[in-house]
Amino acid sequence: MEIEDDEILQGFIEESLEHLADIENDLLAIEEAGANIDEDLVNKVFRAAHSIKGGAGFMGLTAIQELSHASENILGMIRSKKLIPIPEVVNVLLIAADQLQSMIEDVNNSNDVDITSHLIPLNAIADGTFSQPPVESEKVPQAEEEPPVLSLDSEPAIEPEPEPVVQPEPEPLTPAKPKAAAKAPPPPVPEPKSPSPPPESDAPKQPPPVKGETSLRVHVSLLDSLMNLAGELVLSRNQLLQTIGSDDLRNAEAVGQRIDLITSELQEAIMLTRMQPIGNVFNKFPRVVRDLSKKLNKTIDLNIVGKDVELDKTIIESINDPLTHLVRNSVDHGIEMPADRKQAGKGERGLVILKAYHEAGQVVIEISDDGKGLDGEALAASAVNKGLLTAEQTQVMSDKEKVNLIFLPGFSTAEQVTDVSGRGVGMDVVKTNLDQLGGHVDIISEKGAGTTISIKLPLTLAIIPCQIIETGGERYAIPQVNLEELLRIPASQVKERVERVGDAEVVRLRGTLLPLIRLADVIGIKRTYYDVQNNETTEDRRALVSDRRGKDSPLFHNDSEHDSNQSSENKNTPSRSIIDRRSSASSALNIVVVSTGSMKYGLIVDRLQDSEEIVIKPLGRHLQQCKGYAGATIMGDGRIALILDVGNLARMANLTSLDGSDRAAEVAKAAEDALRLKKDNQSLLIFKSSETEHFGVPLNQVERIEKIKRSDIEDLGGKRVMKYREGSLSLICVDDVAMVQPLADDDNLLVIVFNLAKKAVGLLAVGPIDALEVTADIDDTTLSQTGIMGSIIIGGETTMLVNVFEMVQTLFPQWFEKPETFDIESIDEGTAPTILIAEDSKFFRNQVKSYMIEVGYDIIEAEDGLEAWNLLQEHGDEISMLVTDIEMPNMNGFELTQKIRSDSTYSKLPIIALTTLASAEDVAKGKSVGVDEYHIKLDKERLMVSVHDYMKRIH
Amino acid sequence: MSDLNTVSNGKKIVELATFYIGDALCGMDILKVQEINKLMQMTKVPQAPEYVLGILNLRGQIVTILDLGRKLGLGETDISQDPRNIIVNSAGGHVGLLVRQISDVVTADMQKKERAPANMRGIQGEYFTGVYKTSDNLIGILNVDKVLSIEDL
Repeated sequence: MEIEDDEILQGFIEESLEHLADIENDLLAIEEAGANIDEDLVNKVFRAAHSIKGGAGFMGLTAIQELSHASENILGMIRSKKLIPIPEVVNVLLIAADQLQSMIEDVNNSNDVDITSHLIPLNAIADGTFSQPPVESEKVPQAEEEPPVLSLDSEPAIEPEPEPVVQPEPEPLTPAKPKAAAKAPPPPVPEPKSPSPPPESDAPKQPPPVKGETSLRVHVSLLDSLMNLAGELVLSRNQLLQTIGSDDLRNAEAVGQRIDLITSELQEAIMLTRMQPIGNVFNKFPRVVRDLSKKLNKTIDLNIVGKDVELDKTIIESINDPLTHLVRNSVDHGIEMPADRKQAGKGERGLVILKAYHEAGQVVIEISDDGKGLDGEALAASAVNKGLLTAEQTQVMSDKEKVNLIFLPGFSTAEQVTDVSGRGVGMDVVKTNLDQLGGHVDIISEKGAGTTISIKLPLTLAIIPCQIIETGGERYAIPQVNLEELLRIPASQVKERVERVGDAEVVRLRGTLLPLIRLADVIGIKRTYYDVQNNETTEDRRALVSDRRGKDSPLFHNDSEHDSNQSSENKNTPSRSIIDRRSSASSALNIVVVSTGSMKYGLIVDRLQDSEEIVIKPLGRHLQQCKGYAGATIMGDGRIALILDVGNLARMANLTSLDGSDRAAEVAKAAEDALRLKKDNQSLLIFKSSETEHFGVPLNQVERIEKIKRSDIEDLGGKRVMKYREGSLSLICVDDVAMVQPLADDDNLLVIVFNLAKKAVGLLAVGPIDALEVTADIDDTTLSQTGIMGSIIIGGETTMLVNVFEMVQTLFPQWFEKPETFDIESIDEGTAPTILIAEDSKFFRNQVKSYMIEVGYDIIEAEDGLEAWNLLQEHGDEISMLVTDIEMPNMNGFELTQKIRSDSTYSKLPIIALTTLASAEDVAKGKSVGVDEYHIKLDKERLMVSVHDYMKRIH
Repeated sequence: MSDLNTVSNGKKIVELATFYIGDALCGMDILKVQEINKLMQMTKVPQAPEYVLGILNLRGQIVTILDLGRKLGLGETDISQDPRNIIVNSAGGHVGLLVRQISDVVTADMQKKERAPANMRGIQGEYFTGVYKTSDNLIGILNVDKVLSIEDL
């Protein structure tokens, strides 16, 4: 039909849809209240139905009018208490409301819709002859539901039950429409599973939006403030134009500031107009839960908290599907059947809580249920069964990690696939969708007690903080949500830390291996590197990062010849710089460690720049095929930077999550083996005291390093001190104790602060300082003397290892008197206790041994775990303590400890483990196999205190 | 709009903005043109189709620049020859069409439009809706929608 006045019709549609959105929840509340009707509420629904009827009558929409009239009749009866709103009655009303909604959304065809199937039960109720169980009407359509179900990746068919009632009728709706038309409030967007469309550019891709998209309600006060700001802006512009003419610099500055201020305010205000209460999404869930639980024969309450929390419109729209999925999951899988609940000692009524709140600048949405919870073990087993993980992988996973397995692609927990949820495209789709929004999902679940899924979302998508990087002379932005850390590998370490596994390059990062992707390769541009000195970007021709050719390589000659033929961009780069660059600063690798979903990898870029807040702009449709970008942004200088889509880049580089982690695991194992063969690593702080001699101290002994001027040093009572944190710090020099050259005569000094005997002491040194990991052999004879424990060759220089403990002991013997006397007394009573030391490095063994012998213990030495074990068998009775290294050949410290602990004879033997660097994981592992305490090698003080401590307990 | 241009005597007058792509003089309805610019600083988009020259910032809007020469199979437009950018507003956002040179605005009677030949100076006929003959020249009327379509990738 043709309706003349479009504007009035549009008004009617908008108003009616608003009424209907309220009606649904109000009806549910009425149902809840049962016979104790809340008259206000019923009145409200009644009035809503009445206004729809009135409007429809005016417009000549007879079908709508008739249906709303019939509904109104029943509501009238409820209001006058002639009818108790039992669930069956409310059901009929709800279905009628759904039908009204679909008719109003397609208002031009509404008169052709056959509504008799609704009128019959409605009129029957009014006549008091109603008896039809509503289930009937829900069953019939199920079969016809097929096509929509198949097309769903996520969950667009939110209420399949009531909607199909319309289906048997002569269908006036266009084929595309029924899905959306039957829907409650905001139309769920069938999320395509295909690679992520940038969330902000989703508008053109969505199916024809039914409503809520074309217009938006904005509070008048907000609009007023926008007008105000716009006025201000115009004013400032005029001022600016004036000042530009007048050449008044000071004024121009002021105007600039003003514009800056107004722009920010304007931006904020405009952002506010996009904010929508999350209630818009939450409001449909009472109905979803009600219908679902009815169908599943469960009784479930739904609590909604924080409807007023506001989120960006785009997010509100896209959060709908994942949330629906999660709520349905909770109802279907989470909450048990009433009988099971009773058995588990819970109330028959299940509870689902939907909660939204602000936290740390983000919005958190929690869906929690008090159902059966997730069984981490079962999940892990299932993942292994499906071949997604290996049994070994699952063994090392924490419970939380196991629960999070549910997000793995191809994982569906539903043992039986029901038509409600669990179609095999489960939580991974939810996670992917949320990832696209820059959200983060987390599951906390306790078996038997329930599950809480919390989703963290950014407030808005339009402006996001990004890390700006540069590659190939162009800037790119990486959203901060994807950013894990920035990593720079100095040229000198590239060869050691970057390895090649198959086709992939990986970098060693704190014990784990990270797959690497070169941004230039993925997006198919020429590899370049950024030359810091000349501030220019130059082409790079190395095939692999780890590939550092020597100068005498034949390839090099080809290179330089090739170079001279180079096109203009390279002409002014002398070929010499290419030789040097292998070890120059510009050869350092800049890696952006990014993560998305279950993937984490390193992106090699030319240069790292600042972090900036950027405004996302969609790319035109000609560039939609470029999957590597999530959009573009305009930088401060007016040029454009592309925003990288980290997930798609990984896919473009054929780096899938499992692939990556498999590969990384493989490499990790190889690395571990290599490590096992290696000698102990020792982290050293390298410094100089005189110009020519190099010194090192174990890095883990160093508290901090201060830069001072020579004039800061005070000479008091024959001792050098300086002011340090409200007190005096005693200063020492290596040459105070050891026969080395005196401290260099330099005005700028460094103070390396140590903490010994509960006192701080500063070692004077001069730069340059450096921290290194050293694996070379320590020579503990040639240069050993008081204060110097040995020497080591680092980078061709002999470096002396300073024994700070010995130095301090020599210089300030009074600091140590107390603890030492105490031992000898207590030990003298019996025979001296014997300590077994297991350590493969002779140097460390001798060090530890000397500490022990010094205070009067007897020592038995073993070169590895196996020997230690054999010695323990032989001298079991004498040995009262084991001090063991972790990394040893034949049998390592963990294995040794495990072996000792499993033998009841030695179960009480104190075991102290020594490591060069105690990582948290190592400590945990050690504790779990039975190590009593962890100490850092060469930290004599702590080691001895704890040795004494254990001895005291034994004797 | 068509009412405005249709004069009572059956003429359908359209103003054509004309320009050169390679050697071919082409034209499009001037109402489709938002503005004509010099080539501003562009950002290259790696992995984009080869006829996409890059994107640029046009007063806060991201504009995709297409090299019409490449798109229509005539080879790259020489950027050093001061080409012009015709900004058109298409469904998927603003698009800039890079052309070798801008020519006059020609008032044309669309009734006199002729069917496009299969090939016009190296450009496939399918990109034209027709040709219009002026006293001294032949203007190919560009089918902008076809040019902007991405189906034939």
